[in-house]
Amino acid sequence: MLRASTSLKSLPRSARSKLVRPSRPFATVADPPVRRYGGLKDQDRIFTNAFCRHDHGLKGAQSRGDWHRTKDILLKGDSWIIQTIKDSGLRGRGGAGFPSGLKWSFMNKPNWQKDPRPRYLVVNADEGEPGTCKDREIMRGDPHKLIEGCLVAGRGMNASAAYIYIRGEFYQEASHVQQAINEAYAAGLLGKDACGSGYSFDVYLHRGAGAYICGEETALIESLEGKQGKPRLKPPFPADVGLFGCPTTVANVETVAVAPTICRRGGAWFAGFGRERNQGTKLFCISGHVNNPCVIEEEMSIPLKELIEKHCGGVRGGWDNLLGIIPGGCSVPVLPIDKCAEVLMDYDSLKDAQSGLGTGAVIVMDKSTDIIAAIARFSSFYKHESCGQCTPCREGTTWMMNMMNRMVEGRGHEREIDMLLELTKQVEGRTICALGDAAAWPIQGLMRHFRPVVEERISQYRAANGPVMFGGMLTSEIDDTLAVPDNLGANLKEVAAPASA
Amino acid sequence: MQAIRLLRRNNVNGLSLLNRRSSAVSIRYSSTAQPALEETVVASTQSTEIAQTSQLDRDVFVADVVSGAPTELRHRSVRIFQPTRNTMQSGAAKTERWRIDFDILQGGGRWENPLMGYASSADYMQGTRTSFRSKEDAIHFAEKQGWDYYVQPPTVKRIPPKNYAENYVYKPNTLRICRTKCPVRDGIV
Amino acid sequence: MLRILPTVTRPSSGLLGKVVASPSSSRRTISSTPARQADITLTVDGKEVTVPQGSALIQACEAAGAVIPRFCYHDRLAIAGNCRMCLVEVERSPKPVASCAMPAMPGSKVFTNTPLVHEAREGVMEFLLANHPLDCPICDQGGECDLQDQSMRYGADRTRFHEITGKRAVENKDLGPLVKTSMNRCIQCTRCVRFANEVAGVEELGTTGRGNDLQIGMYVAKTMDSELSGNVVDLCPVGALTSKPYAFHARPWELKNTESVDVHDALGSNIRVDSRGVQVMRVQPRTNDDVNEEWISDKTRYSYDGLRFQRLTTPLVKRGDRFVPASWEDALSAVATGLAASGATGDEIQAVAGHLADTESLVALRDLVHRLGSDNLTLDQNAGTSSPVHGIDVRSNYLFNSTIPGVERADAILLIGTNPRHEAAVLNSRIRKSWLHTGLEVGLIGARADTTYGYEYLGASARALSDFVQGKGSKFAEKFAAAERPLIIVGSALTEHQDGAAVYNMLAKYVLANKAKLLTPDWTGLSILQRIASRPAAYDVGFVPSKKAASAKPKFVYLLNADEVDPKSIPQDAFVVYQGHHGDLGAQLADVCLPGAAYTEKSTTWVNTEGRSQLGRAAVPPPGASREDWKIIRALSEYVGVPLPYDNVLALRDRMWEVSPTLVRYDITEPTSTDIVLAGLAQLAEKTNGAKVGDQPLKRAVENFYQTDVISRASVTMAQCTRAFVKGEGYGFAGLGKQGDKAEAAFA
Repeated sequence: MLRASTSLKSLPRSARSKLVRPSRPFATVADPPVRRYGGLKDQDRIFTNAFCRHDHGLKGAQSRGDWHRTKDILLKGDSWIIQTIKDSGLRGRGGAGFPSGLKWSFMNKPNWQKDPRPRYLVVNADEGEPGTCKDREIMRGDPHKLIEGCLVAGRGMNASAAYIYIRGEFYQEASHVQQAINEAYAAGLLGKDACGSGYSFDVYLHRGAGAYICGEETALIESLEGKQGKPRLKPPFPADVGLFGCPTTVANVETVAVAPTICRRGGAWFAGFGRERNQGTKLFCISGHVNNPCVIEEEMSIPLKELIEKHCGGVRGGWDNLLGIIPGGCSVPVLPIDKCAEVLMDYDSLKDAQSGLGTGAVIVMDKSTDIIAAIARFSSFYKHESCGQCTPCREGTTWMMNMMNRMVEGRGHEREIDMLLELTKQVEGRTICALGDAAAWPIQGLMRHFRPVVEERISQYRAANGPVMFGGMLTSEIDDTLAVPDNLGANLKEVAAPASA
Repeated sequence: MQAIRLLRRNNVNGLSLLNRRSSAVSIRYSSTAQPALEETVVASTQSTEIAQTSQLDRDVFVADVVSGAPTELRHRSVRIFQPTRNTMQSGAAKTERWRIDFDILQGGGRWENPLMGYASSADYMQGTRTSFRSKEDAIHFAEKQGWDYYVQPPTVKRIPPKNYAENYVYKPNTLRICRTKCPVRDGIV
Repeated sequence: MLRILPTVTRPSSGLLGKVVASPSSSRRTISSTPARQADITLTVDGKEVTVPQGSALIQACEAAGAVIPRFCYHDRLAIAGNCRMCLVEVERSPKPVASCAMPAMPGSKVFTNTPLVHEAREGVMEFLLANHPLDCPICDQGGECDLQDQSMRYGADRTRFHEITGKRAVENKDLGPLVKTSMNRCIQCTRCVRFANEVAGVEELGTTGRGNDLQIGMYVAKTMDSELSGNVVDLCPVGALTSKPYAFHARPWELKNTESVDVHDALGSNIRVDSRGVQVMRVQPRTNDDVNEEWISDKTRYSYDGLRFQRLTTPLVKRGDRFVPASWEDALSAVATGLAASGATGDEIQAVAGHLADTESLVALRDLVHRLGSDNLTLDQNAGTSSPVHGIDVRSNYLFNSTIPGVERADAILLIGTNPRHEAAVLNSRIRKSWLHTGLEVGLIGARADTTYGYEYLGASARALSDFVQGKGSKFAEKFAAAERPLIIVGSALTEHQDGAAVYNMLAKYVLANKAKLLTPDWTGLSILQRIASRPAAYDVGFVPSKKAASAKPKFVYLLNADEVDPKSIPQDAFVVYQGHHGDLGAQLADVCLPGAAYTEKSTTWVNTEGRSQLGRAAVPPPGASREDWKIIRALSEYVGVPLPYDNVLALRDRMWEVSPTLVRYDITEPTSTDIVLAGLAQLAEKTNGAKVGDQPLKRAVENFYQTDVISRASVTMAQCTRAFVKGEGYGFAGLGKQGDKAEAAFA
């Protein structure tokens, strides 16, 4: 059914062993068996209808095992559910990778029963990150997994209701989820006495209006409250003051949707996948210059190269045609080919490679890509999606976009590369939400790995059009009759001579 | 203008009051003030009053005898106060100082040139304001100059502890501000 | 030569003022101290500081004396945390944190002066300036601009922004005749939005757009219809919102600041009069948490241009049907002759105290009239010729007993015959604040009004009050009965209403019956909201007629700043003297006009609705031959042969002390003792016993907020406001004015 049939053997053995085994100069004892990740078996898949080949309705879902003895899970109580999630090592699938069991346990503070406020689970289905398309497959094919996940996770954090904030553009997905909610209510799985467990739980679907920033958890809460989607500062954390001022946990669709399966099959089963602290399975969405772009559930810590070779038919034109890969959606830095061959697809390995797992959206770019234009496009995206609330992001994204647009042409001064990098540092970590960081990182990744390309572009432009001053004005365009300030770099020597000259 | 000069010349009986440069002003701030305070009474009570607020030596070195300042100055009162923060700016500088300035002259202390609009003044103290580090310094200075003064108490600033979370906290009753550009107050709550 | 003299033997007039009693003797410290919260201790720049729990970090830093630059944070607004200028370093935090939005945590170590903080501030400053036009030379904020100040102090010394795409350009918004916008300069701090939403109640002001296209504006393209709109000019840290009437008139460093008191309503808002030469250039609020916090109404702020127009600059004597300029001597002689010729004796001599009469002149005029043998002291209002229904014997019967800050402690407010929004706009913002942040319930009897907060409407007439008193027919009565600190605010217009006696009777009985809650040592739940600056002082000095005098037909009428008089109420043959500063209605009726000084031109005492006496201060000299009012009365007293005994303000204030000691106890409110209130109410109940409850609706006291007195009527700006906001004729290029009646109907 799934394309998991291609075995590991398609990879050259030596290459693989090199991937995972550190070189040991003095091998005196036998190496322990090297754990290789990847190659998730069909029976271990959680999202068995990710490709929408089967019925997404209640019947189909039940035939795939959803809603099976959910009542028993609910009756085991909140601490059991949270402990199971903690045991499973599940980390948030929305990008930040915060341990989910821990996060959910924040809802159950001591004496939470005395708090008269309602409590909410908010499911972040505002999947707007370029390159990411995993949640929509879940909602389209396995909506009941999500609904059941809401119930289980909601029980775990003793929530009274769940709001699913779905991106406005996801029309079909919203229909499927709504259908699933209706079916679940009709079957008594939700509502006053959910699954006959005596636990009362409601699920609401809310369609957003398609702003990327509404995928930020506090902005999402604001948007749900009917306000402009502008992130809040933390503290207060949503677990204290969240939706309508009530304790709230915002979780990604995938995180929520895997919860019932984990509870059913046990935390140890889930923890059996992937490396320590990066356990589990994950939906990866591979797009870009691969032969077969796809969304595929795989074990965590699968080598990036293997993921691409095995499921996507390899990079267009062969691995050597690869220019770089963005491993986790547009907000993480790009990786060059040598790093791509080494990294494992998990939080820690990618972090060590100065990138991030993000949402697991792998964007593959082959040598035909204009990497500067690609990153500049991201900059435009972030400029467009900045909420405009806080200064560094509002002004910084615009400035960075303008500079990147000039860099695409090469219309700039070489010193401006460093200035651009400094700007990204001024944005990073100074903003209310992570959008500022997300806007800064791709540029930093570009400059880290592809700086020669940018310099080359600048010198080409310079060769064709003469010297360029700071800000992109050509020296040749200067009106001689005007006094030009000296700080525009007109009289500076170029750092490097044009390569073509 | 003409009216003013006219008035100055007509220095007759009842008008003399109107033409006076300025009357000495006295203000009691103390809520225990006595009626019809004679100057001597004030003079005798003041030393104790001041002594409470300042550690200054009460032997004030009176400079007005030799300062050459016109005697008219002695008939004008000064206000000793702490300027409040300029509401246009968030900086609170200059509000710690104590300032002395003069009440304006009534009756033609200032005029404008009708043609050019130049401002002129017969009041040589109109632009004078002196700043001091403390109230006691200011009082001491005024006493030394022989000026009548009164002290305006600074207002007490009461800013409650502020909390970002207040914007978002749970309100059990009807929402009274929803920040979504749909005023809720038109309806009866 | 120099002698060292002990002060007591000093020959000069010496020290006339006394060092101030500390303000702790006033009631405010007793009544409005919030519940004591636990304190926490943290370290700021190595200095230990203790702040109340729940404080923001920026407050802790301020308490420690560290200066934190800020744009969006404002002491009296909600926290937004979006300018990022107040970043500080906190130990064990990898990133700099916004100190305004961060709660102060016990034991944390904060650094406000580290390289990281400097770098962060410099970065934010650079971003702010990236899209800020460099038009400081033509910007009205220049010289008092937070962005200027802070870029000098915290910004980089050179620019890196040279983008050929240039800076952001934003269309200017039309917010009406008061607030000028230059939206290119906006740094999106949203102070104005927060002020409008939370304080002024203009929830239509907000942000539209996203990212760099974020704009501040009214939704949709409306003018900012609020009587507090001028405060956004103060709040704006840059020159995006500036004052339209003041535009391009002066620079802040040219102005002389004089701290004074406002007279356009009875709140006695603290103001700072900024003058240049002989002109008042603008009026700014002065912070005083006991009165006006940091806000003033638009009338206070913008009616100063009325001080320039229609002024009486020289004494005028009527010859035939024309006024002829006269010398002071001639004018005062004419008054004396007129008095003699009119044959007025005893109570036929009537004095009318108007809206803007200061306390000194009220006392002087009262003494003068008494010396002339008359007791006919009347007020410039409907039914002003008779003694007010509440009497003047007990102060608590006509004052705002709960005090202005005390309003925020109330948890149920009943408004009777008043619209605080128009009668005391700044007080109204306090009610709104309380309504927003606490569970305050408001009920209203009287004309419906848009109060900026929700209320339960109980009815239009005194009948509704009788229902309320009996606990009938409204949920509000139950809520009021259940409230911890209920407050009844009675409008000043009730004394002018025919049902006033009935209303006061019912209220007095109600309060006496419910004194357990309404009258405790801690709380006085009955407050009368005066709307006219001179009225509390007039009641304090006893400027009301005796019963006998009220029936006399006046032959000689002395109008002191009285411009609201009904011309028909003045007998045709009466000799009328008008003393005031504007040639308005009162001057038209007069036979002799004596030009007085306006409130910016005299240092006089004003008593606000709480009974707080405050000293105004002269900022500019009175124009032409006009003089301080009490001096005119003093001079006149010589001409009519009954010279008053005081020759200077000092002596006059001693006289004021004799009349009522509270008049010269400045800047404090006298605590009202419960016994006195009880006695006053008992007396009131007895006096008004048997008054019949009528069905006459209680009318609005203020029909047009922007024009209530001579100064605001002479003001061009206020006329524009009337046109834009009251008549709804649209203003400037907005064109699309709302229809006045429809707008009113929408609120009704």
